[in-house]
Amino acid sequence: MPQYKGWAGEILRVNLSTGSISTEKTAKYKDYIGGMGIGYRIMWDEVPENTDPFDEENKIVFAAGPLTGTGAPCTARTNITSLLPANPQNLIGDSHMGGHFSPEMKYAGYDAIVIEGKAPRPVWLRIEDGNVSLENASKLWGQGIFDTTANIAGMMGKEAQVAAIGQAGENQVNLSTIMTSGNHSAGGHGGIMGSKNLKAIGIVGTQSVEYAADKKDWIELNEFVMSIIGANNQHVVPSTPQPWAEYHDSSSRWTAQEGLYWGAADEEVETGICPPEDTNKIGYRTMKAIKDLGEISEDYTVRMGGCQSCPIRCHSSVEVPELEKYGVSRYVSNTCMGFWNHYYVNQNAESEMDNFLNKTLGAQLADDYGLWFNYGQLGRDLKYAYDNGILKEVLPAEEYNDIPWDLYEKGDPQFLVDLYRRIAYQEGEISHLGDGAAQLAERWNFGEDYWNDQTNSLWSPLGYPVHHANESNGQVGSLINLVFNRDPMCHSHQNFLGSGLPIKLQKEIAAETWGSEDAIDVPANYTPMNRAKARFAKWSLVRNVLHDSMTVCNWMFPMVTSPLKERNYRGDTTLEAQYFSQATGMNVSEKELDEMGRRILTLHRAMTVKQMGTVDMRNEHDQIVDWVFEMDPDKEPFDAGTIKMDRDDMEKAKTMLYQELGWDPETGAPTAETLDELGMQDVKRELANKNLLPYQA
Amino acid sequence: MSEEQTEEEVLNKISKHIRNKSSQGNIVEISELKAMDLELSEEEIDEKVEILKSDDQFNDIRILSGEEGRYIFSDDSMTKKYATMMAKVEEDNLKELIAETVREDSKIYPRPTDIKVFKKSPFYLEDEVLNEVIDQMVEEENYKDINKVVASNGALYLYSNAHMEEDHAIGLTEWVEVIRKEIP
Repeated sequence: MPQYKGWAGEILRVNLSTGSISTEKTAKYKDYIGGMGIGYRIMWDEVPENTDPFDEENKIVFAAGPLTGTGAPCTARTNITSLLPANPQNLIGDSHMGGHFSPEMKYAGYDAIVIEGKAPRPVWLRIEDGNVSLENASKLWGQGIFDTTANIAGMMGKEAQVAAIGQAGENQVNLSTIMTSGNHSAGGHGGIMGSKNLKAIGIVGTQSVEYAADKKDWIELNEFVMSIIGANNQHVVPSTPQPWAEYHDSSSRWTAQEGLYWGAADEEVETGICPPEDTNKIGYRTMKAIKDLGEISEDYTVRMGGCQSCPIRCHSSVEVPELEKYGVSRYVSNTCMGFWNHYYVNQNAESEMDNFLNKTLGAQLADDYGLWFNYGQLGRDLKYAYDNGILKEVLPAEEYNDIPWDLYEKGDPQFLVDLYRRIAYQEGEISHLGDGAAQLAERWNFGEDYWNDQTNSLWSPLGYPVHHANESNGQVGSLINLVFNRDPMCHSHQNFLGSGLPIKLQKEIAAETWGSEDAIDVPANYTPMNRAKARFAKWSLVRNVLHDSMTVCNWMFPMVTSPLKERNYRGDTTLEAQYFSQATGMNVSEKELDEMGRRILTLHRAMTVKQMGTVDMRNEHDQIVDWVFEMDPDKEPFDAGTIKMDRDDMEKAKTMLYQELGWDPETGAPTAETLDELGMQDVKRELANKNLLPYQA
Repeated sequence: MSEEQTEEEVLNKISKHIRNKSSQGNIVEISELKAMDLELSEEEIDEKVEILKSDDQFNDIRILSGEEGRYIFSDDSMTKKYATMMAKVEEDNLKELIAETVREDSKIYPRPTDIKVFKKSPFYLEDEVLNEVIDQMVEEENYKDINKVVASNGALYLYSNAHMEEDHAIGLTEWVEVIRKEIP
């Protein structure tokens, strides 16, 4: 792509069956931007439907977008695309991780790495700029992620960035991760690497990523973003009352406050008051440890860490000497579900300390094995099976009696040491907890109550849980949770809803952004579906796939709000288009970029239609389990105090979203007209040949 | 005023003191100025405060009347809302502090108020004190709109039924305290 900057310009393709290593130009994927877009396009073009995720014919794509490596803030995401083993129909999906991997990939000269085939024996992929080789991984196979990463760094140098799998991935556990930097994990595709006998990818890149803009303009844009950026999730008010702030919100991740310390730093660091104009203190704003690990974690926090080129430090690095008695390192880093997953596994813990140890020990074990928890679902599945006596029925008596259930009943952290080993090594029947919720429910014959019990938190019959769904602006979050083939990992809507601003300001901003203040409701006091909500849902989805394609952190962008009173708390929704234009040299408006996002989202939809062999997405794919409509039996949908949804209203919501996206309002499948409009004639032809275009009168 | 000290120097000294205190999150009670080494009479201090109010050079300086005293702060680094809260703390008017916070939360978000907010910076109320004040408030006519709501994990929240229905408060409390934390 010589006329454009931002992109490295080449894609690395490695065939593990033949050992062939080649490159191709990124240019042909320009319309799909990068990251997720490149991944979906390659999967559409090259992987036939009905391919099993662990077949040699499946491929896995590691990809970044034009912003990664430029130094623009919050742009170090790596998008991984392949078939999803944990999806009961193995539909396409993406997983992604932060860290430093994708910038290094760009510095080595590649926008993406396409892995195909299967190596005859364990290998790892060594990339040092243009020198690319497959190396013998026989000594790494069987090791955890931490040792694998350290060993590869030992061979390549400490600047190497490594993405690796642990024993879970090697053993093709459906719920397994690919991890980089020891604590940034992409959940869902570890087993694909394992099935290909690919243990890891190590990269050293010594080149640079050029941007097209004048240096002054680029710096000005970066400085502007620094002026309107908030804390993690673009929360723009502090969690406690502070002198500079008109508003506060105890749920805000802007936790910096007087008297709150990184208590285990060599010298205690006080997070303190961090007013918005003090951009040198942005890194102190988010002390995520106390959100994820409780207030007890303050004394254990060494520092906050995060991704390359990101001022927000959302990963908590803690030193927990008590962990050594479980045979693991005392140093743990992670964030969000990386800690919370283990709370769900060991829910019987009563003390704050046991909860803290469960979360930190669980993170340490799972990150080394490379286990994924399906956004906390694995732990809830265990609880359901145990509480309902199912485990006694499905596990052989010898195996059942060998598991330390007394520890489980006490919520003792030691239980995790036993359980996680069994899952990662696929030891016994209990290891099927790692299959994924839908497969597990079928195997262990879970009843309807499993799906319909609100406390199990399942959202879709496809086996994924709630992830900012009906609890996040009713129909808007619900629609966002329908479209993908796993939990949506979409924060476009959630960041805005959780910004910490009062409802009047939020409604004003909603009116400016989505055409009507009716796009949002007062939390837990919902109103029926309307067109503005459909626009908000569409916009959230489109921005989500844009971010995963550009590649930008969707936990920080879009920046609809800001912490600045002088801007009346407005952010700037044009930032993505400004960055894209400045980085690449393509002059793209906000509207034009959103259309590129719609193209990528529509390709995902087309791929899902092709894989499922039906156009009836409404009834075959976009389904919600019953508890969402049956919770709070004493209340009706739209009563104050409930997030219960109405079935007819949700069907109307689907119709409106399909219309906004240009999909068939009856079926939810992409129409021929929309595929033409988006320049996807080849996709249209293939769907037409398979009789998978919706009929339109 | 000493002969060596001009009016401008005095005003600068006072405003610097106020701005420093505001930047540290503290309001200044006017009587505190009288304790400064300014060599001014009470009347002269009041005069200077009047000048600070009207002189464009000091247009960030704001005067706030509390129940018991008058306070000064700089709105360059402190909001009026925060200054108002700190005045109530200064006057140990905890019932009004809590009631105004709860009423505003219930009205403008709307949300129930997590009482833990009063245990942390900048209030640091002890459990015993906080619980006693809340127990007193729910018995008093002035605060009859302030109600308790408890999440399933036992956390106590308050809401004002002048601005929020009970059902809504119950639902939101569970959402904020339990559900939202478990879906990070």
